[in-house]
Amino acid sequence: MHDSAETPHDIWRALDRFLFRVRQPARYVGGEVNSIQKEWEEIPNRLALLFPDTYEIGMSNLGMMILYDIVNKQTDMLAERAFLPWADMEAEMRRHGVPLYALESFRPLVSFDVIGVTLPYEQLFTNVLSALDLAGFPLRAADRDASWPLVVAGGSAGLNPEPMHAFFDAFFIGEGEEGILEIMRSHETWRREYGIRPRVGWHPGTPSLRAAKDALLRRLARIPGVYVPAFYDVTYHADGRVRDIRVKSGYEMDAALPVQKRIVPLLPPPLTRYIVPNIKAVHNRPSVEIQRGCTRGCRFCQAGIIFRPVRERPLDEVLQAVDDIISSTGYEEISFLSLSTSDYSRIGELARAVVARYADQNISIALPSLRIESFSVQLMEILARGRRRSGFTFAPEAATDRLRDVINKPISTAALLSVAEEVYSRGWTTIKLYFMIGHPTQTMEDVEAIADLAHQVWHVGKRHLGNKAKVRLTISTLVPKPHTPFQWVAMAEETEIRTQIEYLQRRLRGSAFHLNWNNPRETLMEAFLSRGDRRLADVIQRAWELGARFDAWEDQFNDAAWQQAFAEHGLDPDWYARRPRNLDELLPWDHIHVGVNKSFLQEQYRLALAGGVVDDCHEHCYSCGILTHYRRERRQAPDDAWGCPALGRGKKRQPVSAHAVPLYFNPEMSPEQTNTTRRPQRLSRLQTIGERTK
Amino acid sequence: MNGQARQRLRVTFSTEGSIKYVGHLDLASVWERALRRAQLPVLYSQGFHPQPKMHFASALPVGVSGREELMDVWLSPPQRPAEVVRRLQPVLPRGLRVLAVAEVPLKAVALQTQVRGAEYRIWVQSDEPETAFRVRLETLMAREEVFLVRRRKKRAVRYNLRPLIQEIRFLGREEDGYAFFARLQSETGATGRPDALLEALQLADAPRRVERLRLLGVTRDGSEIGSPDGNGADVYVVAGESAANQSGH
Repeated sequence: MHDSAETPHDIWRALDRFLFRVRQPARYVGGEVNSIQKEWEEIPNRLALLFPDTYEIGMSNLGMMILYDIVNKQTDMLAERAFLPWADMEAEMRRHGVPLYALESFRPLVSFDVIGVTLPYEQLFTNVLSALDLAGFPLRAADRDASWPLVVAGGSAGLNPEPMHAFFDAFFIGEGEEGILEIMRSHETWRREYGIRPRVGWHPGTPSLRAAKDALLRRLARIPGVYVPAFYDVTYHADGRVRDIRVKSGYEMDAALPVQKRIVPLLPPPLTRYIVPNIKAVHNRPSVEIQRGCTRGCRFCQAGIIFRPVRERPLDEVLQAVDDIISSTGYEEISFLSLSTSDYSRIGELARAVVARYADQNISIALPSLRIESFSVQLMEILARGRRRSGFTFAPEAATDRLRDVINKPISTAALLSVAEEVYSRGWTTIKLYFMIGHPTQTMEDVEAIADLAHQVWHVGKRHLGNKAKVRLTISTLVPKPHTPFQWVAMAEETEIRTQIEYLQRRLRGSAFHLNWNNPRETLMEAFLSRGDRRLADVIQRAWELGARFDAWEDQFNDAAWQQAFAEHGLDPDWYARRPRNLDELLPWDHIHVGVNKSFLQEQYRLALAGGVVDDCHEHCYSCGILTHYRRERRQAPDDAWGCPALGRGKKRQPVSAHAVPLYFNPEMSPEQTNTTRRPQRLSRLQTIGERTK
Repeated sequence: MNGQARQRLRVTFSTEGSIKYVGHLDLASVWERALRRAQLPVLYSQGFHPQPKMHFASALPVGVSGREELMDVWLSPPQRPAEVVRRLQPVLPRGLRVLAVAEVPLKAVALQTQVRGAEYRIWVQSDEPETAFRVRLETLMAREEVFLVRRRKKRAVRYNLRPLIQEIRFLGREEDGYAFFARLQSETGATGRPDALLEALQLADAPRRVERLRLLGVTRDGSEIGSPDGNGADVYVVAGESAANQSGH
């Protein structure tokens, strides 16, 4: 073996000798404003936060930065960052014996106690293996005894942890703001007890490194929200369906079944000490989370389910955060983060307040995820104030009224066109529209309607702006995600997807339109990775060995590696992605409970097929399960901090039903039920669904 | 446009460590954000995309540290140079330091057009004997033409590097390599780059440390080269920072 660099000094010295020939070397050296470098020797608890993609992508991840901030606020803990180097850098590191290191101290990952891996999406799975390997770790959790750092994953892609179960010691399910500290404390107590320091060895008094690891994992499994895959057994039917998921014998007292998602009752104070990268990150701006969760209930949307309940940040807290962020970072742009920004109850006040304060300081403000309504145009008008009006983004997701009723995103085509009218008439030149193909019950007619609608929107623009008017479309394919009402649905066949995309390409030629679509093979990968079971772990490892990595990068996607890996293990990607599941099938992720009951998802699935549209749950609670499972958290929060009704006598409440009674059924889907239209029980504060029921 | 008084400040700064890996455009946003953190009233251009009014004397190549780089920044209302230094120093990222701030005439010639050349100190890893290394340098200097190919956008441009190399001086053995001094011409359309020099020396892939010692043709205070007292403007030099005439010895 070649010399390996182990100390920060060795690593920096080695880097300085080859960084000049790698692309974008600033990714690899840290030193940014607001990054925190603590005195290593004085801090006993050390966490490395690993984002398994490039620096520019990882630095745009709010979740990781929140954890960085929380852990570093503890006087006896430190958190550092690590990202996956690009291939050129990886090759140089391997050639010079430089292991994966953290950007603050330039210490290798093996010298940390805990490695916290952020997994917001499934296409990062193979990168996790690259990172573990480059850090010098055995890939499989079972091959890492107590002398190795603990490797824990968190993030949305961990909500079906099974495909990656073999590589992580534990998963944290849900919001990590409190959990991360509990994991760190638990690790500290365990280390004291066993006298263990990672990679330094162990105290002679301990029984063995394996037993010590077992003790650590038991301790962690008792923390609510922690899933330790090694403590569960999964069995399969002959056809490959999951037969049973149970806790291994001997671990019944430690491991929960199901593992319930953790939430924080109140949004913790917003992150204001944003690290300011010296190079452009993908989202080159800080954001303030104004709201977590979404009350809309779009049936394809995973975020809408897994981030429940809705919690709002008070307006004064948001405004204070904006002040603090601008003065500590100097950023020229700030954005407000929420799954549905328009639903923030004080959004109008917020927009006016930040403009009043910052407009003449050359700071621009971004409001993503706006609803398709004229209020959004007014909001953008407030924010634009003499600046360039480039694009306006809406996500109708489907182009016919019928299909939008099926997915429970009931905006009418007429309303969409009238909003387009307002947008173009006020001088914005481009409207960006997001659509999905492959929704259940979709026909070719619905796809044709996408092209028709795009043309209609463009004609509105042409009336106001002539040929300057543009329409940009992004077409993605439905990936039926775990924990959503569509989790039982089969993904569309590849030939069908290709036919539909080609059709749209033909219909949307010319300079007025710009069409983006996803490669159906990449969509398939996303589907099997998010819907897979434990047997996929071998496939993932094999694909990685065959060269698959940076799967989220279009130009790096290695379809051949995946096909070969599936073939070698006798598995079929389509079986995972394109097989409709029965409503009573045990799903590979059924032991992970996100707080929303399976019965609620089943009911929503049935309503989807019947074209039944339900209210925004701000208006009407349908007992999805959140209030049952987070009773204690609900009581800890003020009445108006959650979208869910307050508990207890004498509280002001919205209507509550145990079963969702739709506002109306789409006449094409359920002609026999057209007369059952129900008026919303409450006057709509948000003016959302009312229109279609008038 | 507001009618308030404006001021043009010349900032002398150095880059080293992590920050030397930041490219020129990114370094400009690093400065923009630092100026905002320092709450200095930077003048912005008008229009759809207001940009801070800042001009750099010369872009530093990625990976090259700068001992004495220069930029001009316009403020309104005017600030005392000492105050500007005081506010900037604590908000700069690691590796970026302000050495001096001076007020220069609003109408002074643009920095970029003043630059004539640059002096570099270059260290390269090498296990060849000292004489061989010296011969390498001497051979290059003895040639009359050294044609290299430079990629510009998609075109390959062939140019003669030799006239752009004004001086090369061997400095000595250091660590596991050699250090030398180089003075390269740096004018619009006729700039010798340290990477090109290393390529011409057939050391393109050798580990190196390149430091730009100073830019030739410009002054910290906007005065003409050679005028001993400068223009008498308010120059605030940060205590402990060495004077303008550092060289590679």
